[in-house]
Amino acid sequence: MEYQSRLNTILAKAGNKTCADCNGRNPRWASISLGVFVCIRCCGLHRALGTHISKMKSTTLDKWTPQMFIIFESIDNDIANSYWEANLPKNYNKPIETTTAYSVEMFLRDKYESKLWIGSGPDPVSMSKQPKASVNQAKKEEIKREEKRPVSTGPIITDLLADTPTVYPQDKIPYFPTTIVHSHSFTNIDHINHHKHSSSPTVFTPSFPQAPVPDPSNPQLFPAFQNPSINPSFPHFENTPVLQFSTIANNQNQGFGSQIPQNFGYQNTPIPQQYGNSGQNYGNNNYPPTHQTPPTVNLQQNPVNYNQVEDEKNKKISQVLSMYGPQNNVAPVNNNSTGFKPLGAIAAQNFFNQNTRSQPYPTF
Amino acid sequence: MGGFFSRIWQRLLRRAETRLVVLGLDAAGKTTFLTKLALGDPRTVVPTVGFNVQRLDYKNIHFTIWDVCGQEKTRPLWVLYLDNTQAMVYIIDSNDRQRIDESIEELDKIIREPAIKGKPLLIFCNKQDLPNAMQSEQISTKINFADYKRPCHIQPLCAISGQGIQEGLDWLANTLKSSQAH
Repeated sequence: MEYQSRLNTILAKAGNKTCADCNGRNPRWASISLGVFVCIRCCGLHRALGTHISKMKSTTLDKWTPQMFIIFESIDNDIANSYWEANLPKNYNKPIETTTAYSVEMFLRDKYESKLWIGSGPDPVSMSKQPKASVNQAKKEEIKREEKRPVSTGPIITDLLADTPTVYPQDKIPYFPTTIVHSHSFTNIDHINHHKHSSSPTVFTPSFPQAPVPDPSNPQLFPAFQNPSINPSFPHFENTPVLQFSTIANNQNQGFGSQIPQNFGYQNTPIPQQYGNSGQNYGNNNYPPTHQTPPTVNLQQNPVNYNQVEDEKNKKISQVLSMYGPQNNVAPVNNNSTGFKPLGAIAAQNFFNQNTRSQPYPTF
Repeated sequence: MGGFFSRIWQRLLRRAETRLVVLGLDAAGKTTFLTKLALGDPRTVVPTVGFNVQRLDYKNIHFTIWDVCGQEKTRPLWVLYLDNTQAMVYIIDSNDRQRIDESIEELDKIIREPAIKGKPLLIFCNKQDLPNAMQSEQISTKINFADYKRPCHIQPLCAISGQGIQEGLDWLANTLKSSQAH
């Protein structure tokens, strides 16, 4: 009877009252490779993952070995989930009992197969083999980490689409070489379309042209380059809606939940004049590279002084331009605050000038 | 007169009634195999507690297939399902390499039962689509077919996609027909 009483004490733990994946009541199936108790429906989904990920044992229909007792006497569902869901966003909709089996299976594959949200410590099964003091220590660390976890305010979908501002210190602006000449072709329109469709209406997406980067696979050098939807390279023609943005990086409000500004649209939006006449230095490229990803700003909370924004932008552009040597023509200040000029119009014009022939048809 | 002809017709097209038992360790894929056979569409199944039964017509044979729970404590109950069966299907999870030996031990135990003496045995090596799966040839070297003294067949299977089901059942149907002819 010792066997049954040991099993009962394990099942009576506070963390083991609900299923680790769907919060169902009284889970009676254990995954001995993951260290969690789940309900019978989730057990079937765990089995579908394969035994290389999850090995299921029943508490009633299987004979438990001493090793299984050792694992589950030191941990429960809460400790195991503090590892498997350490980085789970707080407003993530975890599956519940009534969630469809398919979406639960997708959740399980994210959680256990792709290990999207795991913590940094040892996984619960190997943790259970350590002495008990270190388990408590690990649990305390997990609780600390949980307190530090950032709270997101917007819907989840904006996490993926919103860009995070990267502000370089003045002495550490990355160097962009000028020798690489890349000719823009109209295949870039794919990027533009992708950009147009992928951005949700609540996301405030900037549209800077982009400079060639020596090693685009290096995410630390230029994070925005990794994601074409955030910062599509060149040209935005007249049909492309121009989104206004500012460069004030507010560290408190960055990240999720950017909102549509009041004056969203074409009219009366002061557009930073960023295309300096610097063709001499850039070869075929008639626009300077931007050295930083424009951040999103919550305009409702922080009304932006656009003149200040423009001055800052011009200052930064001149900083970048000064890296490439002496400038005859610094980017001019846009005095025409009411005039409308779509972003990329000058670049598009130059592109056309290069590619249009003097005679439309060849003569024989 | 009509009754007379219909009786002759029924006698000509008489379907053999066959009772099959599907056995194997837990999480081997027995219920998925049965669901694929019966519904043609594998869906997420929950662990069987007890048994599932399905009827199926295949190659003019009327199969009644019993799928029995394979958890450790219910394996002694397998014997009770063996009465009056014509053939046995045994499913092995070839992805679970640590338990393949355990699975074959259980097969060795159940095959000695007098109720299924000389009855054909079909072994499915399931989950062949998974990367870590052991090949069916490798598994067949671990099984001592000479001791079984019955027609045996080992068949790789992916129960989710259905690959291998038809080959296995074809062999079973042919074996049963030839054994009933004698």
